[in-house]
Amino acid sequence: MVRVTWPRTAMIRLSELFQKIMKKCRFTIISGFLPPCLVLILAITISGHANNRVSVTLFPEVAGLTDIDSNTDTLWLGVAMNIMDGWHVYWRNPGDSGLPTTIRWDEHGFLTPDEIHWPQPTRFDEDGITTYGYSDRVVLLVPVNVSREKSKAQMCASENNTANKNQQHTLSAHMNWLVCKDICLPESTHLSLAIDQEGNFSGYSKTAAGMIELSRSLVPKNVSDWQAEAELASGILTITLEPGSEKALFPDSDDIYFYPHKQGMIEHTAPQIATATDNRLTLEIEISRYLRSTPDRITGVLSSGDSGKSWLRNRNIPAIEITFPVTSGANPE
Amino acid sequence: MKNQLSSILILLFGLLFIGNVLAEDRNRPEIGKKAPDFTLPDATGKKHTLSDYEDKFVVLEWLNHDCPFVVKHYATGNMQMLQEKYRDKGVVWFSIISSAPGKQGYLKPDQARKITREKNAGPRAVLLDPDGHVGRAYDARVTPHMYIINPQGQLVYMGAIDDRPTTNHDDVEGARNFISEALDLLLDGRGIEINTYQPYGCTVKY
Repeated sequence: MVRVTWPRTAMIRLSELFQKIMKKCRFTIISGFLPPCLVLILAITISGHANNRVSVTLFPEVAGLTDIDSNTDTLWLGVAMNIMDGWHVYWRNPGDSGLPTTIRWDEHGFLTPDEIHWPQPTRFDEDGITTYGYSDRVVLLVPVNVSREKSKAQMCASENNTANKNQQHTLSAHMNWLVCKDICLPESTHLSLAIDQEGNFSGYSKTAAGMIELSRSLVPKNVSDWQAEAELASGILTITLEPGSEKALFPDSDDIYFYPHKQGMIEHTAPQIATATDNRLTLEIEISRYLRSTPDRITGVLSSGDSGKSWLRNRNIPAIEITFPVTSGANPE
Repeated sequence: MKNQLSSILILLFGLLFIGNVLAEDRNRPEIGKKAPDFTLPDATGKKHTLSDYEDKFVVLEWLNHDCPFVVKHYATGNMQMLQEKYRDKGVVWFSIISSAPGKQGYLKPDQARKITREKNAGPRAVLLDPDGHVGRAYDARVTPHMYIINPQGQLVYMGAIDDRPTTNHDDVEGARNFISEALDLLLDGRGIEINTYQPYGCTVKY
């Protein structure tokens, strides 16, 4: 009925990237620039438990505190999950079963991590069950708000205090996920980002920064170029999409699929029926039998599926985030 | 562009047709409607028929002892506590195993008896559904997937056991348990507030 893969291009890009890292490492070992790669390899080896089906690495997008964009005061962290072949982990809405990955950050003096930004998920159909998640490899993104005043004060305080001279301002977290194949296993690990006295982060490398950038391109964006609204009647949610600007483009795809952010909104297993007319696209979705009342609004990700076709002209946007109001339609029953 | 659209349309009509066939094919137990009747053997070989228990509240619990979501409720004694508490109030509790032979959670009758004893579980019976026909009739998707049937044989609750979809044992305490909430109200002759809730757990290993 439905095919399952995550966009081929993305998969290839990610694996190429990984191969590049390994190549670069071999090269630098030979040429003597060992330390950065050693750190990366060590990070990959150390993180997580040895028996885990998923190995996790945490890395920052920039090298240190002084490199953080002062316009946003946001540090982006990448949390790479390398998933054993045949297994998968879950998206924010896991679908019919499973569990979303969670990261519980410890309180920190000047860093305040926000919610996870999730790259576009893929669909897993098995045994009358549909779940949403990732196989192979995914880099979850976490924006971290940096308080400039507090960071300066704290870094200075420890500098002036000889006893704390070597103190590290480590940001740490506990991460939990469920990994499933034919069976499911809960796994967890400890994450940490060390910050030394000069404000340098642990785990930074150009390749790691590249992985964050790539992953960011896979996180569906909220674009104003599409307008959406929906009606719910007789157990069917009909989403109507209309172009909100010249840039909107109907993706030529027979695999358009809406992934709601929240569990229990739609019947995850049901086929979604897309119909395109001259200037609008409607998507009919069976709602969940566990939905008790009509929600005011629904947010989720609209994907062009396997086709990877873009929703915008001249850009490669195979998935967009949409929020739409829901009205109750007349019920013929 | 026109050509593309018409090809999309053709494909979509095709999908619409497939969708309808699939939708009709699916079993959908509904709240307020008669719960599908069934007869299943328990772990001692004795047969149980749901309709024999009309005049009682019946709880159906989909079970797979190796599923971490189920382990959460058995290792903490939560499931056993519910089974015992409501057995004493005349509720009939069936734990149903729909795992196929060779799949996780499948138990032969003697294994099912042994593990029930070891876990100190107290359902009226552990029912064995290795071909999964009862699980499919109820559209049971996860373990634990819970159902409550009233003395008139109607389905009055289906869904999650509680509002904490995790495998963390600490989450049992403080969770809103929909089974005890519903049973307390029902046994008191009152209506229930939450009659469906998105179920969570491992997929049923049909």
